[in-house]
Amino acid sequence: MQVVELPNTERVFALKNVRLFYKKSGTLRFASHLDMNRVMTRLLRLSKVPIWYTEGFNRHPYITFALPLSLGFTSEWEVMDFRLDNDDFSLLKAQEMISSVCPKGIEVIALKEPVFKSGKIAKADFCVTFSTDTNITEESVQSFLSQPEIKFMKKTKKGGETEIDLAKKIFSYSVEKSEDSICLNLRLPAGGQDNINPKMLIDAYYNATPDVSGGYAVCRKALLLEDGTLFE
Amino acid sequence: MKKEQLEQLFLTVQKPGRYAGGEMGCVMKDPANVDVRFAFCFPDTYEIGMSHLGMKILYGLFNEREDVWCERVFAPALDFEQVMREHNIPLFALESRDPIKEFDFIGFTLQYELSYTNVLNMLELAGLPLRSAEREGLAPLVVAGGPCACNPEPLADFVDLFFLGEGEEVDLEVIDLYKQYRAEGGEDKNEFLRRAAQIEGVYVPSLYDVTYDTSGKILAYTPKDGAPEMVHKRIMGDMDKAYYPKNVPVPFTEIVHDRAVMEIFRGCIRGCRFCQAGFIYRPVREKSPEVINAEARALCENTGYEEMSLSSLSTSDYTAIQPLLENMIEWTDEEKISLSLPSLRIDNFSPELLEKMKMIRKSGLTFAPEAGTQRLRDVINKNITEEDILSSCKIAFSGGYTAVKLYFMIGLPTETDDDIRGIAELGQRIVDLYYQTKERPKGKGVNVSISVSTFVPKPFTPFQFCPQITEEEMRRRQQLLRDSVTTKKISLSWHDSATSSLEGAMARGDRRMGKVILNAYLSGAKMDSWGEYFDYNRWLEAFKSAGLTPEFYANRERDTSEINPWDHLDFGVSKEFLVREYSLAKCAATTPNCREKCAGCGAAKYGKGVCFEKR
Repeated sequence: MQVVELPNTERVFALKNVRLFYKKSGTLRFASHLDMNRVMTRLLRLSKVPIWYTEGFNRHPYITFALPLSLGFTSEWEVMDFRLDNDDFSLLKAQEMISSVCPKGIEVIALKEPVFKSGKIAKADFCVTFSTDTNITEESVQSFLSQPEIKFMKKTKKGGETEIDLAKKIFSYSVEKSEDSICLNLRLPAGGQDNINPKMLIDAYYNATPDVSGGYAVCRKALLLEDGTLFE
Repeated sequence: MKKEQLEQLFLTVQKPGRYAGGEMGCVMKDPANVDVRFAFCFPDTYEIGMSHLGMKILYGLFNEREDVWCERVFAPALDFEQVMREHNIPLFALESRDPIKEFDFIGFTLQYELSYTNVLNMLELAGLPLRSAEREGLAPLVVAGGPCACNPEPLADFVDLFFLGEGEEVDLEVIDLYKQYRAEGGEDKNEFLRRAAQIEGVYVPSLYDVTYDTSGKILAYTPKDGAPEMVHKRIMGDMDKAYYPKNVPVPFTEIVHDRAVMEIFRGCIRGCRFCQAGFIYRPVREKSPEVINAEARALCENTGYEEMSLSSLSTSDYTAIQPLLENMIEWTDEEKISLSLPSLRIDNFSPELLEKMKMIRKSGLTFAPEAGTQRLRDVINKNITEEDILSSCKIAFSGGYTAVKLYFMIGLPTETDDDIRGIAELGQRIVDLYYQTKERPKGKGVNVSISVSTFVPKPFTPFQFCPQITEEEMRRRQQLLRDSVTTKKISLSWHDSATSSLEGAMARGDRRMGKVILNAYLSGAKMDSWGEYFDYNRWLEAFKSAGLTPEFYANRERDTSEINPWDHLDFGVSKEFLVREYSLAKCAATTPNCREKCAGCGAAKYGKGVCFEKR
């Protein structure tokens, strides 16, 4: 058996591990992270792509998601890893097979070999769209975000609360006004180290601006490394 | 309301996936291209309703037709119901999100009595008057079917038309009549109902006058406007030719039974005297193993399910179970689909079957002796012996099992305190057997869990004449059993006694129960099968203000000559047979199963199934 030493880079060349990039939209945004596990398992089964199953008594496909997506969010850059049972199987062919069985709300972007470890994810881009029937203005969003400090009580895993300053967490933002909506683009910390859900910012905004109301939609546009490189 | 606004509201409640629709396998159509829109309502939450096989069959069957669009509707959980009321969102169908008020048919499946208040709540959320007489237009017609429709009288005030028996044919016949009536320019609901009542299997309660004597018992049912004196249930004669879905909506959110389900036969040969399903689905009709194998495979192929269960009232009674499993394991193993076999009987639980099950999946083992002593098991015609139970447990323990679950009922007719203690003693003997079994798993203890429900007498069973024990007596017997169990290796669990009492009154209720259900609903009753919302006092009040008592319906012995609220309906078993079985029960005499000897129940008149198998 030949032992291959992994080159000392951030790049990983794991055998069999493949990475699916897809968009999530429509009613599937009401599928939680746990639900997505079920959906994708069945999707892979339906596609008949030769996937690798765990060897235990309760055999199931090996699936991991790079970063969970909050219930209700759409996404343009979802990342899921699984393993192929056959190294020689064409990724292009597999991608076609998966695409052909996708339900409404899942759109495959690419199936590739993983480039980075998912632990390298450090940032995420979001777009928050405020719906047309709100009284939210570009100026009020702008002035809220330009404050030096945005205090927010974050729930801790242990059930308590801790105060954080969201203003320090925002890497960048921009507000765009189009004909029928206001879009807030945000770059926030994401991943295992530090993770800020854009909902916190929106909640803080609504709390600080009691006279505005109305719905909004959140789309995760991209997952990024520390240096801003797209996570692939 | 706009789609975005509604979806925004979804995000304010628990598990919005229950209301969003858009699952894989759901059927979308253009409303402009269909003639009939059917809202198939399950009067409980999504998780429960989506686990129900009957809905999947009829959903697929209706939608095979180009001119019909059948959509699913479930009862909203209380949080979403509140949101709906606050924002004036009428009850909508999952697929189109159109208000069901605009549909042609609103069809409820009645699986258990405690869902009746949910039927009323769903009608109200739809924006419809609750009482049939107050809904004047032809559409939407409120129809209902399912096992509880065998005594439809408690819902007679609210439902326009009931389907008796299996729905595959009669439902479509009514839909066709509706189309035809519409095409003729017909708009009169009563005229339509009169014509529908001529279709076999259709019961229109408003076409029957009921009279009562001074004690409240029924004097007579009088049909009018040409409605039949006796309404006969419908069955599918040839199960191999019956429709079976090749694809079903596959939920993405978690539900109770999230797996592909393959029906293998209808009915049951056993004739356990407490079991309504065992009588109303007669005669037993099997699908052939070839058909099951092909249909099961198609279903897995199209849904992507990784688990499949075989469905019937008693899986091991399927005549070709061995070859069927052999054929199925061949591909389920290949496709990594785990197969589960619920409803196994103790007496034909063979080592070979256990071996097959181990190949399939090591799940829990559950047996249902139902009663603690042989005498009482003979009374209820549960034809298994203590030896059967112990030998099955021995096979299971030798095969590596360390836990068995046993189902019992208390409050069975003729039950004595000895029978109750017998439950604990049987449990103890199983515990002892474990330690006597040499091949038992080394170093592991045993757990025998005993689950106890309360017997509820049901229509169309030999015990339909029996009094149900009172709630007080239920609690006394539960305590007696608790005191009789002396080891921690036996764990006991209970069914709530108050809900059993209400179920008992509803199951054998007459038309006047409609007032009770309405009163209870108006005072806030819904989701009664969910313990946390159930309030028995509310129901007692509802009985009182309707001038009725639950005892009249549940706790008195009914003379066999008394006219029951369901006596003008024919489910295949004759009243003479039920009376005969009841007197055999009283002297603890058993009746052989259908394959051993015909008991002359009456179901042979259909000319199908087990009654004509070669013996």
